[in-house]
Amino acid sequence: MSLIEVSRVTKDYLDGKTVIQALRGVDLSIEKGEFSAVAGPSGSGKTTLLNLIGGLDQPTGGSIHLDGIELSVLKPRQLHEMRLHHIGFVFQAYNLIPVLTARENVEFTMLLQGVAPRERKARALEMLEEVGLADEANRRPPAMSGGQQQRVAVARAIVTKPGIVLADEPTANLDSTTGAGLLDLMQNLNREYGVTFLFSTHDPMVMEYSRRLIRLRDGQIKSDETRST
Amino acid sequence: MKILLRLAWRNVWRNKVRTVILICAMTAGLVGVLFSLGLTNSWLDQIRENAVRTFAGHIKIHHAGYFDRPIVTHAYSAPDSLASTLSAHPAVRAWAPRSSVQGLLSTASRSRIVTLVGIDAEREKQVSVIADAMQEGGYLDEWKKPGRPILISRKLSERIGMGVGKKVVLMSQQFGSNEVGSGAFRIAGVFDTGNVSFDENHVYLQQADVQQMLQLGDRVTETVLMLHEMEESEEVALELSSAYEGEGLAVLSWKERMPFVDKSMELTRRMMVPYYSVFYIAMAFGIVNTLLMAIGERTHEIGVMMAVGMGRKWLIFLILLESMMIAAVASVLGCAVGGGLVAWIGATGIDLSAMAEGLAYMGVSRVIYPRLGWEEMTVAGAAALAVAAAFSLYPAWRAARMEPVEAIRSVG
Repeated sequence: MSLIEVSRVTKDYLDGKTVIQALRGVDLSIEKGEFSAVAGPSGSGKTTLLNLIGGLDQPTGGSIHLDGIELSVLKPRQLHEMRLHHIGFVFQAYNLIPVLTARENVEFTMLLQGVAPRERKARALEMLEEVGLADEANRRPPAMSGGQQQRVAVARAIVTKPGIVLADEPTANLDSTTGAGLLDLMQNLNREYGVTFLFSTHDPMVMEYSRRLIRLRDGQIKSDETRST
Repeated sequence: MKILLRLAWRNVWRNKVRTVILICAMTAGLVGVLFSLGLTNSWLDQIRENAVRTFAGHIKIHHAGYFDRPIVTHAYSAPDSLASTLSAHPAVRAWAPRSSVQGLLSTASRSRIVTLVGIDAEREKQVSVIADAMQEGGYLDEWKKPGRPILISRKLSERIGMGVGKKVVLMSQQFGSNEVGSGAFRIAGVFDTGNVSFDENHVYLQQADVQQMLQLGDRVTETVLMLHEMEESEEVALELSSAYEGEGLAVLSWKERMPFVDKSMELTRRMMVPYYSVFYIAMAFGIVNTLLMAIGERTHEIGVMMAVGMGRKWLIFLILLESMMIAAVASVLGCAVGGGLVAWIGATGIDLSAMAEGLAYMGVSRVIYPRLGWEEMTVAGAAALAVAAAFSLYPAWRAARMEPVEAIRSVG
């Protein structure tokens, strides 16, 4: 069984009286341990697809299964639980809670999971060391660079050991060197810990790093290629 | 939990100016409530104290029929044990006998119906304010001139146009007959209790003079008691009542004798509730407004928190926590400032001489002393917290209803 099964998924939006078809019958399977990217121009539907897989939005048609569970039948509270325990998110920017320190941000999801304070702190520090930010643990996001903030976001996303990390254009606001460093980090986490990553991107560098590249255009998959890196 | 507390506290101080303004507004509101409460307490205390200290005492012992028909026929000879019982009772601070009847006060040109109050001059000092309220001349026991002394009020003195040293004639029904007893008295002193309606209608004489004029023998019409603690009035009255009911006496606490005072105090307290509510409603609007603005500014962040697994209950809890923190700071400050202000002004008093005439008719003195109890301060502070909690539910509910995907799309 695949980690993610997307079957004939459609998503329509209403823009005034006009119906916009963001996704038109997408079929996709993601296996455990993949390091994949959904690429395409703006408006191709890649962020919509990630939001649907992450249970942040509901499809108009079709079904999405995560670890065998159909997301559309879950109630809001169950979706929260699903996101909390099975999915990690990294967004384009403003990922972190600005009034919490890097360590507290990483601890945040563990707090919601009910992890004991001492264990929470230890795991957060361990994860920050993993992403190269052990010395920045007590700094708050506004005092950190964009690259450092994204690393903290990655640490927060993987500290709870989710089934998959969904990263929506994680390098969009970073320069190429910082972006490459972030991708190296995520690639190492993928190789070392087997964390599954699914990106949405139009950054060629992210596409280069990905072992599988799914191209979307006008809400439909145009190509799906697996490469060896 | 610590992180959530820290998050809430830091969120509160994200926009320092806005938070400080809200805290100041809530503090001012609470100070307003506490000061009003202090004034009301003082006002009501004075009405009660004046009623009790001027004449009524905490407890009165009458003939059983006197309360309904306060006539001389209902005078009584005190049982032998009464004086020793009252003097030995631990709750009784002082007691005094009185012979109080309606009568007619006449001068050469004017007459007025008044209450003649025959008192034991020495004992009366312990149970009423008359001795301390002397304005001219002297108290009954200072009278050294020929003739029987009488004390009248300043108001009555003005009405009848007679002052210290002048002669007045008193008349009233004698005990045990339909005859009228009368006598001439010299004005020994003029008093002013500050309670005009009382002053106009009461004159004070030596008890022996009244007893002789009205052929009362050793009879009195009432024995007035002052206790160490006013709150014990009903309990002590009940105890004495069971002891002397069989002797044909009625023992009544001030609440039983003057139910209108107690009821009007209660009514006043109830009538103040809508007034206090205005302060709390203003606080509530401040909280709702601030929280809605804060939530609007943090929409993207709330979306991210929901995306990473923060459930609606957690979010509502976080916003309630922020609101409670603001309210807690305002409550502590409000109670400190309000309590301090009341204590400070309470020590010196507020001089209301400008409206003294009106106040005097209501039984309130010219200077009032605001007063607050810890219980009232706690309730007022807790009410601010309760209002904050109740009125932050709407902003919290709005935040919890956000769709994560919509919230994340908003500009961070």
